[in-house]
Amino acid sequence: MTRRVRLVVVAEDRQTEMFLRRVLYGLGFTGRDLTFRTAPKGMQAADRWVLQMHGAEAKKLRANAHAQPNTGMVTCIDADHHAVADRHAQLDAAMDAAREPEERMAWLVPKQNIETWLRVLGGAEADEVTDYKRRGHEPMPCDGEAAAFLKANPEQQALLPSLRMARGEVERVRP
Amino acid sequence: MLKRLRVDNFRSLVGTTLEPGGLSLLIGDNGSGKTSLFEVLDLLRRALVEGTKLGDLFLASTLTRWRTTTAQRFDLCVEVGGDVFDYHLVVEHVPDQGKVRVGEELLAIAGRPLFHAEHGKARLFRDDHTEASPLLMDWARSGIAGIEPNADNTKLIRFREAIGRILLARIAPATMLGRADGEAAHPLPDFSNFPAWYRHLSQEQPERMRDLFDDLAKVVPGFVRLRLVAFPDNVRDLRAEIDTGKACDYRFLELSDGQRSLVALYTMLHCATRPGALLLLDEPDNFVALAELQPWLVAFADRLRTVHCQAIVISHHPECIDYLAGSEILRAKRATDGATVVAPWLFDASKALTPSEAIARGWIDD
Repeated sequence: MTRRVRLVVVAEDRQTEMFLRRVLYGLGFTGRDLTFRTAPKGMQAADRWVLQMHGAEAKKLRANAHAQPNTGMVTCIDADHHAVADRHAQLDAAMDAAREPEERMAWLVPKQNIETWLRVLGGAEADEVTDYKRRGHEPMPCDGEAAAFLKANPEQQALLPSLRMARGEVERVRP
Repeated sequence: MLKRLRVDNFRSLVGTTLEPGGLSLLIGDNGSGKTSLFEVLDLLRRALVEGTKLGDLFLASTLTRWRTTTAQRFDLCVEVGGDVFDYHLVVEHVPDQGKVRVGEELLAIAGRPLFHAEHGKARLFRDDHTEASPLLMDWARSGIAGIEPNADNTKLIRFREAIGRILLARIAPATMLGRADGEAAHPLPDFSNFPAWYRHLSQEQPERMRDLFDDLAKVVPGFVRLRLVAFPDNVRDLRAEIDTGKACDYRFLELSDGQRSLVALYTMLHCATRPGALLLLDEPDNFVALAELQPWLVAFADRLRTVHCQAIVISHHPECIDYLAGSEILRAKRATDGATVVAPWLFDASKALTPSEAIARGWIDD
């Protein structure tokens, strides 16, 4: 019997967490396999919080990798005005030593932010330059968007390079 | 949806305002007034929906100790089906007569009345706000509680029904009885009447039981189902069927405190989260295993959004605080005059701490 894989999921806001949760359910994870570390609401520097939490969780994961081999983590941080590659470099730096290819760590960096992906995955048009974030709104379930993400529609991926990169990233944690 | 509650002259609540969101975490030191806010909402439900005498709800001991006024004021702003209702109740204590009565009770939409009572005289208004026939009123009780539904007062009734969907949960598994001698449409705050509530739910919402049992099977090894065994005199004994190799019936009282809490929490998640409900959870984390907390919170938060209901959670537990901080944190504290003040708490990320760590250290900016 395959052992359960347990993940820590670091997310920038509740909307991102809800999207990731559905994506991970789609990959076969259950609620009991996932531990969420979601940034507190209303923070001015949620990306900073994510980087701090990402670094702390990555170090715990590595320190326990021998005893708890079926563990991993997913970190999602908005690119905002940064390049996706810059965010990856920040995530590497936050955990002191860069991510190794075999480490069960997936980094999802929507550009500009998760709302960009949700628009495209919901069938609307979007680009990576415009900021679509609707501040102050209640997060919504996004089952359809998560399902579309996992279907990996080539047209959507061509539209958003950050989405294409993320689709490859989640394969790193597939149980 | 509750938009605002204002309370004056109830314990430490003096001009205290609560403005919750869809899912709010209410934090604060012991004695800061958090539970009093919940109790006020439950007392208003009992006054407005159950028609309980005000004297049985608003005891003299609930008057703010350092004030001399004997009038307690409660204001609710509630949105129901697109209408925003303003409700105002003044509870007058008359110590020399040993009476507690309605000083004033007003329900209105945008300033236009649906009900108004003052000094024992009540006026009922139709949905179009024209005045209906005069009412006789027992001013020891809420006048709204006794109004019979008819075609002209649908708005008032909708408001009252919304108040009826307030549910206070301060689960105390040790008090949860194993038998039900009837049905209860509403659980008591400590869930001591859980079997009677479950008996009601199994009749009213049988379609929810499959999902409830599926979830309980994930947290109680071998759990199959809850069932009620008939005894004479209309008594039912609540049993949990558990199969760990051999199916056995366990009396509800034989479950551990933690298991009984989980049964109550998942029952609430599946059966009490109705559209427009307001769930008040006072330390739901008590007795529950650490690994079970976040899965329940995640499922609960998802369910709230799916069915469009509202919840406020009081917690001192790090797991609860850190997860619910992703929604909204309200902080209750005592001002220099002793009165409770509730305000949003915006967490400062620069401290490199989780919210619960900041609270534990007392590193909370004033």
